[in-house]
Amino acid sequence: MRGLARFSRNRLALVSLIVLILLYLIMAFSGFLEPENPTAQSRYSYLPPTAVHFFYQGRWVGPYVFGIQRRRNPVTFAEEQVVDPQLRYPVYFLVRGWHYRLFGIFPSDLHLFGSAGPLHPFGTDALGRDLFSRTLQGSEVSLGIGLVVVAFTFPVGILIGGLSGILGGVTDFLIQRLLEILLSVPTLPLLLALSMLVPANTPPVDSFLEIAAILAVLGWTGLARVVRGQVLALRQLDYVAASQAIGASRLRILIRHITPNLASYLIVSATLSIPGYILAESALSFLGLGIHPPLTSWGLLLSAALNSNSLAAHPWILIPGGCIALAVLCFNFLGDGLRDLADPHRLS
Amino acid sequence: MFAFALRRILSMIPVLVVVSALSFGIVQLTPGGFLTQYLANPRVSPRTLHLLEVQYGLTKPVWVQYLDWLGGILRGNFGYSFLYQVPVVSLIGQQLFWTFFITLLAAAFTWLVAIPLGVYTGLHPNTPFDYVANFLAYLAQAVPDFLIALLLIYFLLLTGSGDVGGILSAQYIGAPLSWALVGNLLAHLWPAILAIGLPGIGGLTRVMRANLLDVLSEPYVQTARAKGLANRRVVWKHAVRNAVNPFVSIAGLSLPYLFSGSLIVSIVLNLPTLGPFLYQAILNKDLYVVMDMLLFYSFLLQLGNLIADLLLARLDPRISFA
Amino acid sequence: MRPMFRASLIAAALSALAPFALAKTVVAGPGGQVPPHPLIVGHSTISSPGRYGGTLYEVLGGAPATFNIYGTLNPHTYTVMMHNVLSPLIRENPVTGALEPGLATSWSSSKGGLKYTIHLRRGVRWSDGAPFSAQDVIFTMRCAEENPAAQGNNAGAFTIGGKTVAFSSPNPYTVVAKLVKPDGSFLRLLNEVDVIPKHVLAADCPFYNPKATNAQFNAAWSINTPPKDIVGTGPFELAKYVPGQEVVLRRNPYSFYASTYGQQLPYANHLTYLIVKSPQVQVAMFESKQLSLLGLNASQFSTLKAKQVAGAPFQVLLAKNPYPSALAMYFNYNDKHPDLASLFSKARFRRAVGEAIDYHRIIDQVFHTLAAKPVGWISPASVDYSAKYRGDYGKYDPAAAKKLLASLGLHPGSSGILHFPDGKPVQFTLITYGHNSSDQKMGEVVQADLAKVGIKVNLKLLNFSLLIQQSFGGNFDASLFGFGSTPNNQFRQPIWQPGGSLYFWHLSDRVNKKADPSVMFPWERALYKDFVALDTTTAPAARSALWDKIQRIYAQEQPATFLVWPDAALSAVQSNVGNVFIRGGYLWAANYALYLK
Repeated sequence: MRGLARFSRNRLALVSLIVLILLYLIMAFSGFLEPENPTAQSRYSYLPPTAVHFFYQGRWVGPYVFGIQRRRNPVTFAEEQVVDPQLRYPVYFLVRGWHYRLFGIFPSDLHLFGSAGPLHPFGTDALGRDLFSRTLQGSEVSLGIGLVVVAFTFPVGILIGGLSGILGGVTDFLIQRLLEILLSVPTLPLLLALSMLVPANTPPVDSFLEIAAILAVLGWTGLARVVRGQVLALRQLDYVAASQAIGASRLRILIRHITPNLASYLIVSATLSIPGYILAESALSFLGLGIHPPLTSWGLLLSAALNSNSLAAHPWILIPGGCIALAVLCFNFLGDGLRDLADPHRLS
Repeated sequence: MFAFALRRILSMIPVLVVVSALSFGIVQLTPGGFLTQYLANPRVSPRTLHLLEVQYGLTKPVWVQYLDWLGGILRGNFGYSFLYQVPVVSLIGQQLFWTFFITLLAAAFTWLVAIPLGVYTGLHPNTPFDYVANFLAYLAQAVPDFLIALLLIYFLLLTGSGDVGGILSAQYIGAPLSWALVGNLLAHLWPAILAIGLPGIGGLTRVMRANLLDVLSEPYVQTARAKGLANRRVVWKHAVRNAVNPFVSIAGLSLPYLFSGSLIVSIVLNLPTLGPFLYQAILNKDLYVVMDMLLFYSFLLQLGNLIADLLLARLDPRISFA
Repeated sequence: MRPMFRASLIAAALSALAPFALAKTVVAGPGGQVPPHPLIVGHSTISSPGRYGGTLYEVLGGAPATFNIYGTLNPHTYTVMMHNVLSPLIRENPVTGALEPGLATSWSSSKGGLKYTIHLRRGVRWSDGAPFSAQDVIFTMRCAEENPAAQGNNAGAFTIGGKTVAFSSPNPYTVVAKLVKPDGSFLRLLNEVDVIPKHVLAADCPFYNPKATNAQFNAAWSINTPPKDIVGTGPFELAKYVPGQEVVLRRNPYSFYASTYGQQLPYANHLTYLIVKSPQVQVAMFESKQLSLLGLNASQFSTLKAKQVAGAPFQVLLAKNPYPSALAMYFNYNDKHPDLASLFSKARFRRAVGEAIDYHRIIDQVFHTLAAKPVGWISPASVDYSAKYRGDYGKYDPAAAKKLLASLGLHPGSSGILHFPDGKPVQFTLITYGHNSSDQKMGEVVQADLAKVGIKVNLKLLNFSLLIQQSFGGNFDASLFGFGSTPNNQFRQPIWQPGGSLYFWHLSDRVNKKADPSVMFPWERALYKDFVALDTTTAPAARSALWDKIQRIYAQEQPATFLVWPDAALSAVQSNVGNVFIRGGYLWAANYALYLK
C-alpha cells in the first residue's frame, strides 16, 4: 500500500498508466468507436480533418458537420473540395452503422457516434477511407504486438535463463554461447532479413503472429542473461539451498522460489521492453516488411507518407505516427515509475 | 591487457563464423532469389537464366556456396554483388564515408546536448527546468526516428526549400571544398542529424543526471565540500568528472550504432549511406552484399564491446583482466 | 510494372529523328569536330536554333547498377542515361512508328526477305576518337545481342525460324544479315541495337578473347570503371559518376548529330542526372530549380500545375503517352483450389469481374482523371489496333455482373458473400506490388468493388521480385500488374500468346515446357495459331487481319481483366529550357536538342 501511495506521487507515471489503460480500452472497443468501416472507400480523397460545428446562425443546435462538394479542376486536374453550407448533417451518438464484431466475437452495429455526412476526425486517405477509424483499427496490431511478444519472450527468457543458472555445467555453457551469438547480430538488419522469411501466401492474420515471433526471437536474450545472473545470486540464499536439500526439483525451485523474487524486476523489464517492440513493428511495417493489409498498424499507415507525392498537401496522414509516440512515451514513463518503485534507493 | 585484447579478438572468429552461417541460412530460406525479378522480362530466355545461375554459382549446393564464400574471405575476397557485379567491399567502401560522417555528426549532436543537459538538471534537480527538460527528453526518445524525419520533410516542403534529402545540391556535388559547400552540406544534413540524434538524447541525459546525483551524495564530495572547496570546483573537478566516466563504455557500445542507427532515416531522407544500400540488397536478394553487411555489423558490435571493456579498465583500476 | 522512371517522357525524348531537311553545312559545337556525315535531326525535335553551353539537370530514380546495358537485366536507371551515350543502328519514331536512320543511313532487303543489307554512316568516331566501323556492329551482335550468356541479350528476338540471324560485314561500312525465314518486323529489331565499341570491350568477350569469361563481359563497364573507358557514339559521353549522388555526362566532341540549323548537337555542355528516389523530393528540387526537366505522376501534375497557374517560372505539360503499360488483373486457370480454377477459366466470370470494377473511380482517384478507360493490350496508336472491340472493355455495370455471377451457379449466403454450389464461399487472394504504388491503390479499389458483388478478395502486397516469382510460378489466385509496352506488338508475343513463356495464367497449356495447342482451350488454340501465322506473314493486309482476329478473341474471352489505360505523359520543364514542346499531342524533348535560353 505504501508502494501504491508512492507510485501515485509520481504523477507522470500515474497519468501514463491512465492513458495506457484508455488506449487499451479504445483498442478493445475499437469497432464500437469507429464511426466508419475502416476499409470502406469513398470518392473523397484526402479530406482534411472535419470541423464539427455546434452553433448555426448563432444558435446552439448540437454537433453537426457540413456537406462537401467535390469537383475536378479542369486545368490542374486537382480534386477540389468545397464545404457546402446548404448541407448540414447532425452528429448522432449511439447510432447504428457498419457491422463489426465486438472483441472479435459479438456481432454488433452500434457505434458511439456517427453521421450521415462526411465526419472524419483525422481526415481521409488517398482512397477516401476514414483515417480515424483506420487508426483505431491499427491500434490492435500496434498495441497488441507488445503484449504478444512479451507473452512469448518472458516464459522463454525466464526458463532458459533460469535453467542455465540452475543446471550450470554444459547446459549453461551452451546457452551462454547461444546468447552470445544472438546478441552479436545487429538487431535492425537482422530484423529486416528475418522479415523476408514470412512467406508471401500466409493469411494476413498469421503475418501478425509471424512478425511477433520474429521480434520474440531476438527479444528473450537480454532477459535470459539477467535471470541467469539473478539465479546464480539467489542460489546461494538459504531457503533455496534448503529446498534443494529436501529434494525439490530444479524446475520447481525456479518457479516457486526464484521467479517470485524476480517479480518486481520482471514487471519493470516487461513494461520497458514493450515500447521497443512497438517501435520495431512500426519500423518494419513502415518499410513494407511487416504487417500486410487488410490488417493495418500505425507504422503501416505512416508508410503512406514515405511514398507520398505531396506530404505538404495532406499532413494529417502523419497522425498515426503521433499515436506511436504517445504509446511509447506512456510505456517509458510507466516503466521508469515502476522501477523507482521497485528500487527506491534510486530515487534521488 | 594486450593478451586479453588478443584473446577477445580471437574469440570473435568462431562467433562470426556461426553468425555468418546463421545469416546465410536465413537469406537462403527467404523465398525467391536475385534472378526471380527478371522472370517477367520478355527478353530473358530460360537459357539465359540458366547461364546466369551458373555465372553466379547458384547451381551449386547451398553449403558449397557458403563454403566458397567463407573460403574467399580467407583469401581476402568477400564476394561480388549480383546486381553491380563488382566486389562487395568496393561498394561498402563507397558508402562508408557518408555513413560515418553523418552518424558521427549525429552522435556529436546527441552528446553535446545530452551531457550539458544532464549536468544542469543534475545540479538543479526538481526545478521547473528539470521537469521540462526531462519531459522533452522522454518525448524525443518516444518519437520514432522516421517520424521525425517525415516531420522535418513536411516542414521543409512547407518552406519551399529544395534542400530536402540527399547531401548536396547539384552544383556542389564533386565541387572543391568551400564555405558555400559546407553551408550547403549542413543545410541538407541538419534534418538527418536531428532525426538520428534526437532519440538518443533522452537516455543519455537521464544517465548523466542520475550519475551526477549519485556522485554528489558520495562521501568524498561531501568531504571536499566540508574542506571548504569552492562549490564550482567541487562540482566540476570531482563530481562531473567522475559522473562522466561510465559514458566511456556507452561510447564504445554505440560504435555499431554509428553504422546501423541511421538505416531507416537514411531511407526516408535519401542519404547515400549503408542503410538504404542494405535495405535494397535485402529486397533484391543480393546474397553476398547482405552476408558481408551482416558480418560487418556483427564485427563492429563485438569490437564496440571490446573497446568499451578496455576503456573502462583503463579508467577504473578495480577492473583487471586477470 | 514497377514505378520506374516515367518511360513516356523519356521515350519521346530519346527518339524522334526526322530524316528530311538537310542542312547545307554543319558548324562544330564548342570543342567539337565537324562530323563528315552528320545525322540531321528534323523539326520534330528542334523548334528553334539553340545556344551552346550550360548544364541540364534531370533525375534518376535510383543509382545505376552498371554502365553496361548488355551486362544487366536491371533496366530502370541506366538505359535512360546510356541512350545518350550510345547510338542505335536504326531509330523507330515513337509516334509514327517509321524507321529513321541512326548509325545506319540506309537499308535494303533481298526479294525473298532472307537477306538485309545495312549501310553504315561513314566518318563516325567513338568518343575516344577511334573510328567506328562494321566490326563494331558485328561485335555487338555476337557478344551482346545474340549471346545468351550476356545478361541483357536479345537472342530470343534474333532467333528467327529457329536459327540465330547471321551477321557479316563485306566491307567496313556494310553489314549483311541473313535469315532462314522471312520476318516482317526484322528491321524494327535493329531499333533496340545500341552499338558498343569493339576496340574497348573485345578483351572482355569470350568470342574475341579466349581467356575472357561470360561473367567478365557482364561485369565490364561497371560503376567502378573509370569514365574515360566508357565510350560511345551518342551525343554525350560519360564524364563522372559520384556513387549514389549523380551521373554527369558531357558533350561528345565527335557527336554526329546535328540540327536542321547546321549546328552540331548537343547544345548543352553537360547533362547531369541526379539520383533522387523520393517523388516528393524530386518535385521540391524541381521547384527550387535544381532540375531542368522532370517526369510527373498525376498528383504531382496537379500540385505543380496549380503553381504554374499562380505564376511560377516553369511549364507543366500534359501530353499523350502512346505506349503506356496496360494495367490488368490475371486469374490463374490452374488455381490449386479446383473451385477457383474452374471459375477462373470461364470467360463469363472474367467478364463479370470486369463489369464489377468501377474503372471510373480508378481513373478518378488513382490517376486524377489523367488516364483513359481500358483498351486491351494493343495501343490505339499502333497500326495493328482495331477499334471495333473498344466497347468490350471498361463496361462498368455491377447489376449485370451480379446476373452473370448468378448464371454461373454462385448464390449469395447470409453475409452477402457468394457461395459455390458446394457451399464454399467465393474468395481469393489478389497479389500486387505494394509500396503505395498505383497498383496497390487499384488492388484496393478492386477489393472494395468485388466485395459489393459478393466476392471476397484478400489483398496481398508484395515487393516486385516476389510478385513476379509468385505469378510466374503459378503460385497465385489472381495477380495485378502491367507488362509495360513497346510500339512493336510482335515483341509482346511471349506474354500474350497462349503457351508463351510469360503467359503465366494458364501454365497447363504446355507439355514438357513447350506450348502444346492440343491441351489448350479452343479459343487459346485459335489465338496460338494466329500468333504462329503472324511469324511468317509479311503482307500488310493479311497481318492486320490476323491482328484483328487476335483482338477479337481477347475482347470476347477477356483472358486478362484490363483496368485502366494510363495514356497521359506528364512533365514539368523550367521556362529557361528551350526545345521542349508539344506537337501533335506528343511531347518532344530530346536531350541533345535541349538548350538553356
